Formats: sequence, C-alpha cells, structure tokens
Amino acid sequence: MPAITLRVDRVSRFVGINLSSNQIAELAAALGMSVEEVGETEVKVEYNPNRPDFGSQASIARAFKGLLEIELGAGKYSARASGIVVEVERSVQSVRPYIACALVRSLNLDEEDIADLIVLQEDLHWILGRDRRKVAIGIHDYSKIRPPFTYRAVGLSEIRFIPLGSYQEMTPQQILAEHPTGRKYAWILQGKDLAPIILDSRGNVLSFPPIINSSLTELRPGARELFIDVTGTDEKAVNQALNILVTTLIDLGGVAYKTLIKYKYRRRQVYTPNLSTTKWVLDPSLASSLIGLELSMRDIVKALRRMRLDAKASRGKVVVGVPPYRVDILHPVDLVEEVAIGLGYQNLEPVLPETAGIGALLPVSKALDVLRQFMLGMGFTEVVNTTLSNTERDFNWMLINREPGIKILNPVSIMYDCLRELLLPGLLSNLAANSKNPYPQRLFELGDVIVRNDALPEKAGREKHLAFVACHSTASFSELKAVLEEVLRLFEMENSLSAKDYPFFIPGRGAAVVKEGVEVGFIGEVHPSVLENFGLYMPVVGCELNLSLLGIA
Amino acid sequence: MSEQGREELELHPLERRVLSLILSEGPLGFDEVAAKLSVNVGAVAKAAEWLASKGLAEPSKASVTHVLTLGEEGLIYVEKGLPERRLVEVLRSMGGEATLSQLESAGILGKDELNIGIIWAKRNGWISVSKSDGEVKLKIERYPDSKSDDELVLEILKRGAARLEDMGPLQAACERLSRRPRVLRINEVARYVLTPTKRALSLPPEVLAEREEITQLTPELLISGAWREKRFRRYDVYAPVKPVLAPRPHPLTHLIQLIKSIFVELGFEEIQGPLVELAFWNFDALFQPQDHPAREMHDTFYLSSPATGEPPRELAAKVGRVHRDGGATGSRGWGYEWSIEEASRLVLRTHTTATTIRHLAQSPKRPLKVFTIDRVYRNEKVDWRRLAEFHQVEGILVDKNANLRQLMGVIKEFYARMGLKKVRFRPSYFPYTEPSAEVDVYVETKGSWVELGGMGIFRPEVTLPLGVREPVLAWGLGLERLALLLLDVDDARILYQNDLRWLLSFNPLKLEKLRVSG
Repeated sequence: MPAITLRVDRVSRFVGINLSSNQIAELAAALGMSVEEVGETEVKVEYNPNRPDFGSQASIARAFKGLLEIELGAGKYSARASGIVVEVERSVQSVRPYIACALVRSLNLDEEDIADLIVLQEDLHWILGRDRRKVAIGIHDYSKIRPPFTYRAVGLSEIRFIPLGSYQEMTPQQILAEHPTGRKYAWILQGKDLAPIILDSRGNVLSFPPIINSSLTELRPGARELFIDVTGTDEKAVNQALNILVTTLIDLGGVAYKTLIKYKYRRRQVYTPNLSTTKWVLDPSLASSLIGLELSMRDIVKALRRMRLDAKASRGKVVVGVPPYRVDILHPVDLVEEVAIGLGYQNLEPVLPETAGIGALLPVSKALDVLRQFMLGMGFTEVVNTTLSNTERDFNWMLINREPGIKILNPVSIMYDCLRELLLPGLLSNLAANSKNPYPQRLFELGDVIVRNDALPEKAGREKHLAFVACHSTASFSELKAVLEEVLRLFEMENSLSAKDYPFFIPGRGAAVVKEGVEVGFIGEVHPSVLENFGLYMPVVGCELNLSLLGIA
Repeated sequence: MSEQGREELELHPLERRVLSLILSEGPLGFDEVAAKLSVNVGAVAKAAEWLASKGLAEPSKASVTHVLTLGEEGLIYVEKGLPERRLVEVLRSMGGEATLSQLESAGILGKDELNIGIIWAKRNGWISVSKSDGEVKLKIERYPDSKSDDELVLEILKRGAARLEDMGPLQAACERLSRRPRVLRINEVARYVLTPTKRALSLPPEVLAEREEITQLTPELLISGAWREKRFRRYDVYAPVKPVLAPRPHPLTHLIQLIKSIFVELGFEEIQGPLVELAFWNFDALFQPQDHPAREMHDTFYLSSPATGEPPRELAAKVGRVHRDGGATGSRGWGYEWSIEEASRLVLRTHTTATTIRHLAQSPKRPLKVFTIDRVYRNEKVDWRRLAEFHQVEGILVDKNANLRQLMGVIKEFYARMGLKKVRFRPSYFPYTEPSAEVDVYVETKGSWVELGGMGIFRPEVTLPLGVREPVLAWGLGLERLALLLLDVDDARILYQNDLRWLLSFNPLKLEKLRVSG
C-alpha cells in the first residue's frame, strides 16, 4: 500500500481549523487509511490503491473537510480554454499512443508544495502507471517552453537534449544506457527502436516519456505556471492521472487551462483535462439492503455529500455526481460503500445474521483427527511443516533421482523451488534441527502433499499423507512396524507389507505397504547416506502412508 | 528427606545391612563392604551417601592407588613388540647395520614406527646413529639379549590391569611408558572407608533389626495376602524423577481445530480447495485486473511446470467480458483487453478466496454458509512477521438479506469466542468486495489494536457471472497473526520450526482459559 506522511500544521492549514495528530489519525482511519504511526507533528498513513487521489496532503485534507462538514459535496473544478495545441504524430502509435496535457497558472508553489507534488507524481506512477509502464507524468515550468507542442517518436539517436540530473546533451540511446533513471526504466521501451518525445514550437525537448524530463523545464520553488503531460498505453488511466494532478493543483490555488490534443493517427481530437463530474443513479434500497440499515433518502444524500460527492434526491432515486479525481467508482455498489463510510463504520452496529445453517466438518478433517489421536496415543509428537520445499532436500538428499512434479517459476528465496511430494524429508529436517534435544524422538505429520495430475483443470492435486519417524540410538524397524500395524488395523489392512528396496532406506530393511496390489506407503530404516545428507547422526526409522489411497481425501 | 528423619528413622534394607556390618566389624573400605555383602561398589557408595545424610556414617578418602591400563598404541605393542625392539631385530637381520633409506625400503617398519624405534633404541644405548655421504647410518652397539623393563611391564599388563603400587622396581618403567603417547595410562583411584558415627553406635537395635519390608507391591503379595504381615518401606516423595513430556498436537493444529469448532457451532460447513490454482480462480473470477500489482511475480508464486491449466471456458468468457466493459453487471469494467492465457497460468493460491469463489460457482445451495482454514502462499522474503506460506480463515455467507452489519456480526462473534471481545471495523479495499472492511482486535496484554483480517460483500462483477444474485458476505482472516497473539510468540517462523522444546511446552489448557476469560 502506498504511504504518505501527513504534517499536522500543513493539513490543519488546508482544512482551515487546528487539528491534533490524534484527530488526523482518526479521520484517516474513518476514510479507510491504515494509520501506521502517530507522532507530535506528523501522522504516517497508508492508503488503498483504489484511491490514488489520496496521494497528496491537499487532497486528503479535501476529504477531511467533508467528514468534518466544513465543505460538503464535490468541489467545483473547471478548466478554461487556452488555445494550446498538442499534435500527436502517427509515429507514437506503436510506442506510447496516448497523451493528455494541461496548463495550470496562478500558482505560487513553495518547496513543500513541490515536494508534495513529487510524492503524488511518484505514487500515481506506481498505482495508475504500473511503474510508468501504463502511465507516466511530466511536470514542466511553462515559462521555459512555447506552444504548440508536438508528441512524436524519433529514432534513438536522432535527437539530443540535456536530461534532468545531467549537465550534458544526450541521445535517448545514451540516456537508456548511461543515465541512472534511464537505466531504471529502459525495460519499458525494450524491443522498441523509437523514443517518444514531446517538443515545443522551438524544437526544445520537454520530455522523453516515460523515462525522463528535460532539465530545461525543471521545477523550482516560486514556479507560477505548470505544464503537465501524461502519456501512456491506456487512455482512461492517462486522463485519470491528469485529473488527479490538476484538481490537486486547483486545490493549491491554481487555475487550470485545457489543451487540444490532435491525434493524426485517429479521427479524433480531444480537450484535456475533462474536469466534469460523472453522473450516477443510486437506488436507495440497494444502500439500505447492503448496509443493513433502513436509510432515508436524506441520510443517503448527506452521507454521500460528506464523502465529497454531489448528491440529490430525484424521483425516488439518488442522483450522484462523482468528481473527476475519483477513479474508483465502477458500479453503484461503490456508491453504497461511500454511503457506509459517510455514515461512519463505527456507527454501524454489528448484528448476528439469522441465516440458518447446519455446521459440519469435512469427513477428511474428522478422519485426520482420529489418526492424530492414535499417533499421539502411541507417543508421537505432531509437527507441521510447509508444503513449499526445495529439490535439493526432497530429492537429492533423499537420493531420489527424478525431477519434482511441480516446479516454481519465480521463487524470491532459493529455499523454495518445488512443492513437497512426501512428508518424510520434512520430518528428517525436523530431527536434524532437534539433534540437541533429548532422545528418543518420535514425530509425526499429517498433511498435504501436492502431485502433478493432468486430469484436473489445475494440473495438480492434493493428497493427504501420514508420516512418522522414530529416532534414537536403538531405533529399529520392528519398533516402527508395530506402530504401522496398529495404524493399518484402523484400515483393516493387516499383513500388507511386502519387502521392497527404496533409495532412502538401507537395502533389505524397507517394505512397501500394499493394498489390493497398489502401493500405498512404505516403511524402513533410513540409509546412513541420507542421514548424513541431513546432518543426522542418530539412527532413524520412518514410515509414510498415502491416506488418499486409503479412502481419506 | 529431612521430613522423613523427623518422624521415624527408617532405613533402606541396604542401609541397614551396610550399617550393621560396619558396626560389628569397624570401619571398612567400600570395596570390602561390597565384597562382604555381595553387592557392587556403586550400591555401597549410594548407601554410604544416604547414611551420611542421616548422620549415621561418615565416608572418608582413605588411600589413593594408581591403576595401569594400556592405551591404543600400548595394545598394539603388546602384540607386535616395541618399535625399538623390532628395529634392532631388523638391523640384526641386515647384518647389524644399515642406512635409513635401506630400512625404509625394507618396509618392515612403518615410517612412524621407524622414527619412534630410532629414538628409543638410541636412548637405550642399543644403537648408534651417524651421518656420512649425506646418508643416515644405523648400527647396533649393544644387542639387548634379555627383555627390557619396558617390555616386562607390557608383558604384565597383557594379563590385565595392574596397580602401580604393585610394580616394585618396574615403577620407573611404568612412568616412562606413560609419557609415550597412547601407550600406558595411569589413573588415580581413591579408596573410601565408611566409619559409623557416634549416633549410629547409640541406635536402638530395632532400627537395625532385619525386618520384612515391602519395597514393590507385587501381584504375588496381593494374591497371597502376605502384605498383611509386612511393613511398607517409606518412599522419599521428594526425590526427583525423570520428566515425562506428553506428546501433543502442534499448537497450530490445536488452534485450527478450535477455530473450526467455532465456525461449526455458528452453523458453517467446512470446504476445501486446490493449493495449486488457476490464475482464473485466484484473480480473474475475483475481478482482479490482469495488470494488478498483486499478480506481479514478486508477490505471487507462478509455476514453471506445469505452467498452465484449463479455466472453465464458458465462465471465463463471461468473466473476461466483465473485465473489459462490465458485461451485464451494471459495471463499467476495467476497460482493457482481457486475456485467457493470463487466466490459464498456474499459481500457488495467494488467498483462500480462490476456494470460496470456486465453491460459490458450483454450489446452488441457498442459503449457503461455508468456511475453510487452509494454506496460502506469497512470494515474499521471509522474516519475523511475513511467511511465504501461511494459513487463512475464510468463509462466505450467501443469503438474500445478507448485509454489511451481519458480516460485522459474524466476525465480532468469532473473535468474542476466541476470547477477543473488543473489535472495531474500518473501511478498506479489495478488488472483489464492496463495501469492504478491515477488522482490528484489541489485545489487552499489548494494550493496542492489532489488524487481523479483511472482509466485504462480493461485487456484482464477481457474483453475477456465476449466476449468483444474492449478496455474498466474505471474509479472510490471518491465522498466524492470531496464533502469535494467543501463543505469546513474537516470531512467526517459530510456528514452523518444530523445535521439540517449544512443541512440548505448549499448554492447551492455558489457551482454553485465555479464550474463556478473554
């Protein structure tokens, strides 16, 4: 979840009243933010990615004003005409097809405002932009550039400009190879031999999206006019990011101006930003039934207005206006949640549902409980291991010469590259880890193994296994065989051993458990080479049964 | 032990026999007592300790003897002869003299043996060593006709251990051999003597009288009734005993059983689903867009083999449309080109919601109340609070009048039955629920709120493609976090380390009490 630090004085200034850090924390939590730290002068919160508009302190303050009923309903946001044109050439279509721009004037940004803006830009890059791949934002000092602008894609060595963070002219090719920011984001343009570039009427480069801006237009405190470009691969997300930025700048005192985007490769020209509210119709009975409260039209309208949405009753329905920075409203149920938050979750009293139901455990759970009681009764302690495992331990150490049935593509840790197909290796690891503890040690595990099964749509199935081991200086086959026979009596399977050698058992000291000609398990004395692999210097006898083959699944 | 002495002086039969012996014969060595009573010295030492603690006898160190035993090398020398003896024999067979290289190539003595032999034969004056033309030359000076003292010692020890004190003039040879590595060990052995105290001398005779006492009650004694004529020996009830540690279920299993029983009591049926899951059920069916960060490689385990499976075709087409433009759900959708390939990838399920949504797609039962407690996976670096594999407590309730307050009610009731009575709900976000909420539980012992899980009502984009028209209340709670609180553990990794000390210190009754008192 993206994080933001709320400064008590700054938020108070935006809201217009003095708030304590505790009040700020409460308001943030009531809006669905997760409060991480409450200090004297700062409150650290995380916000959910469905609300990228919570990326700046000014816009969070806007939401606080609603809950505090200082301002209700959606704010008034509009953009004036500017005459600025952005020509979009066909060459960008295959590289980065969409762009939206805006001009914001009458600003007086101090250092804190600029810092805020950069945080918002970075969070938008992540949340809406998927790390700039889908959306990338450039913010420019408008005084350094002159419209009209051109958005085109050029050859990687066709143009030179000084990028931010550098003092010399570089080609896009050089930036991607040498500049730290270029190297970081080069993957987005991988496989493309063109660089998207925004130019002004004098041929100056504004930016090389989604990589870097030109140093020419770098923001400095005192900047009064900002030009914003948003480019990307998803037109909707591009416009959403622009709307969130522009509305935040309007909250900071700016006046927004539209630009005309002229696409040469599609029969379309659009004005951006489009700051109109979106109209929705909410059936009040949907809100009442989902929340579980008889809500009046008045209740609903008020709750929505507290959430900074426009709302009014009209012919038995609620007509809702959603401001341009809200990107999370996809369906009327999203408005129902707005009503619930507007009412305050703390005001919703929990009630037990009257829905009847007959509780029941799965038969497999009951069967496993019986087996667990048996194993405990015979003096074995239960262990629980992970199903994530690694080939080295489960196959190589066990002297099993084959590939795992399930392999993981992208493990963060090399500890995990497959899923367990036997419980025994885990138990041997447990014994090795317990070598400093008193002997005898008797352990068992009841759990899932995962095996390849192409008959299933997900190509892998769960099997329930039982495994148990005895480890002490005189651990013997007969000791464990007695335990196994007691377990097998539960399944009415007396006399089902059949001598068989296993790579992980001493030759001549292993046996298969066979039911109607099918091998359902094995028992044996663990081979010293295997014990050595696990770092175990104490004899071990082990047994494993596939319970799924015995009717427990 | 002191308790016992105060009431009545009660002697163990062995104590009685030992005390009687030294009272009649005077102070005796432990070994003598053992011989006379035909018991082993260890038993005498134990009886002496008991008697000393009762103030009846006093053990004292009387003398020290030295026991000789052969070491590893010594055992070899006994069989093959000392290296210096073997060296002169070889030299003699080679005509009384030879160079070192001749001896080495003769190969009768090993390199180490040769070196040791040269040192001692020279020291004994048997041979001389000289150097000429860069060659070391050995020559017999005095051939030992009779056995040396050292050889005599080995001969004696070949018959068994002996005492240094009994070796007379060979003592110096013993000391000499003991300085050679691993040849001879001289161990000091103390001899103890037990002397009766004044108190023992004035003991009333009945204390020492031979008496039939029962130590172990036997079936024979019970059948014959002979126990009636005898006394039971008193036990020292304070004597320490070897601990017994009862095997027990793993604490997580115990906790899971507890939680299962609560949901069963609340009328929920248990379900279970695949661990290896289609991205379709894990993400797509839950309206999680295909470029959602949760689907990235660094959060989700994808499989390389098998890499893909088969999502249900018809349903997948419907779900794809909902992602694109909302389909017939009244939603605007996410507005992107949905791909069946992405939905066909296999993952280790990241949440048990994959299982409840599968069940919802299949079960026409209404109302429906099901739950599952099972494993899920996240591709994360493991640390004290994050595991790559952990458990979730998941459930859904489907009914035509189901609502958010009821959902809060179920969760509140569940935690109350776990002993966590104070809960609060906050708004939250999940791509597949709306409204959504997060539950915090107040933990008295920590004095703080702890976040324990998420919940919400499934979005119409999720339920309508499955043909489900009723509201579906859904929740997914973390098991391990709850376990850390209830088991008082501060590192989640401990839960899966299976350290026997930890497993066997788990107190299920304490957990039960905690749950009742809250």
